[in-house]
Amino acid sequence: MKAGRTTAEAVIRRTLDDIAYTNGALNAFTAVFSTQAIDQARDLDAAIAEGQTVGPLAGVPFAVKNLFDVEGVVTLAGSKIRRGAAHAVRDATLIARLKGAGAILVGALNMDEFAYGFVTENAHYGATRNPHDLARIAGGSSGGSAAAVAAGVVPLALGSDTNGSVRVPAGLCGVYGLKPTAGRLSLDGVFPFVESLDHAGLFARTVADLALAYEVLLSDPTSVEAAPSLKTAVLWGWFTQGASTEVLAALKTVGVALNADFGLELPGAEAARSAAFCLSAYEGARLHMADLKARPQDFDPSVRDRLFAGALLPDAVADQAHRFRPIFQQEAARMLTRYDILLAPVTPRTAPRIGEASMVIDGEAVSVRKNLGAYTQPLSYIGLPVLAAPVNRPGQLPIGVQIIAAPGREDRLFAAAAHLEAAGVIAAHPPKDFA
Amino acid sequence: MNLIKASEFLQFDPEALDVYCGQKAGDVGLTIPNAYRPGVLENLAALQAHAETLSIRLDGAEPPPSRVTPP
Repeated sequence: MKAGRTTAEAVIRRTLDDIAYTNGALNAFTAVFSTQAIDQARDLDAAIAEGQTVGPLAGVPFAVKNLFDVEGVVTLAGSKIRRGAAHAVRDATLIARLKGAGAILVGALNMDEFAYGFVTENAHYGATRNPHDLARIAGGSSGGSAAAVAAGVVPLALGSDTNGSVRVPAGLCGVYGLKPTAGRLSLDGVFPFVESLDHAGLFARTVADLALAYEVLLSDPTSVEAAPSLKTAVLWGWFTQGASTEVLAALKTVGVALNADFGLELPGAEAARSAAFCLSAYEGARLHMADLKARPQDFDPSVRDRLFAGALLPDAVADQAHRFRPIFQQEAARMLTRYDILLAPVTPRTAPRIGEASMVIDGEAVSVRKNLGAYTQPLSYIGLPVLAAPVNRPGQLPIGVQIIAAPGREDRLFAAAAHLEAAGVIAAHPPKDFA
Repeated sequence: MNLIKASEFLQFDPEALDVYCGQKAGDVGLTIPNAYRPGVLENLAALQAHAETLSIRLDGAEPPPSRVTPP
């Protein structure tokens, strides 16, 4: 743009055309902000023409999960219930930061209702389809975000991750997803789900794009130097129980590329997952108690039943779930003093088909909705930074690997991911129908 | 208010869980329509299984091998 080879307006018009062309198949966008986006692009082009300094994301189109406040728009959070809510009076802080760097917001994206799910099969707004196979789910709850980035419609999207809602769809759609350390990214203007577990996060198709956007969101320089000497371990035990053969093979490929130690167990991971599971239902129910009492019929049924159950959970169980957190944090801290990086799969398998209610893990049929996040929940429970990276498997359904570091060490995540990307071990491939 | 210990909640069999469901809903002012009740009970049973996993860990014992993946 600065060289005059294209304009922000041309980029945005092409993006809007791409949304119109693909959204019938993907169902990723729930709102498109055409007029505002074109206006912002024209302003940017005028600024460039006047020789003004523009930000590092000048003219980059982006979209956000529809639980981020967008000025003048109702924040749906994937629900029917919030359709009558007041319009947001200002943009969420993270949107404002991206816009401040010159990025242009083009739309809002589909999600599981109130971010409570791993599938983005929304009863009110339909299922978001996986660009790699339209018969399969995109994952959730930030499914629209992952699908829009994977299909190449936008290079950057925002999401949220309470139990795995950035990492699961990133893994199933074959893109990069970052859930930074708890509290690192602002949740101002983000509709809450579970206050004690909520994180903001982002999606991109390259490590460099992810790092640049993170730097902007954080207002802090981010290192993406490749550093193959990071001491790495592959988590076993809970994090591989029930994983498919191809998931284990993908994990091994990444571990070998980082010269990792294999077979380490993180004690308490299963209980950590259970604690996160209980807290989500318990705190989520309290957030939505008024609507559960007044208009339960307006919830997505799969969300409603879980929130009702959460409302009935004894306080004593929630107390236990909070009490276990420092215990598990200590276990993880011990391991992260020995290792710079830990690796684990994102999900036990590739993307299930839309409508597939159960999947087989260790020979037992279990719920898809409740178990896709089995490997992600223990990590968000203690707020560790995690980068979900797509294993390089061209022509096959995506498989993601979680790259995990100590709190505040996102630099190690980017270093490991940059090394793996440069070595061709991880890569986001364009889906064949959207190439 | 029907305050119970975590250990008591874990002891409920399906019939007792159903009774608890009705009592606790009344305590917190919720009306659960009959059509929703099977789904709510299924999810409450899943929470009970997770609470058990958590409780076993907090008490210092290893989880039973049969509970690899709670429902």
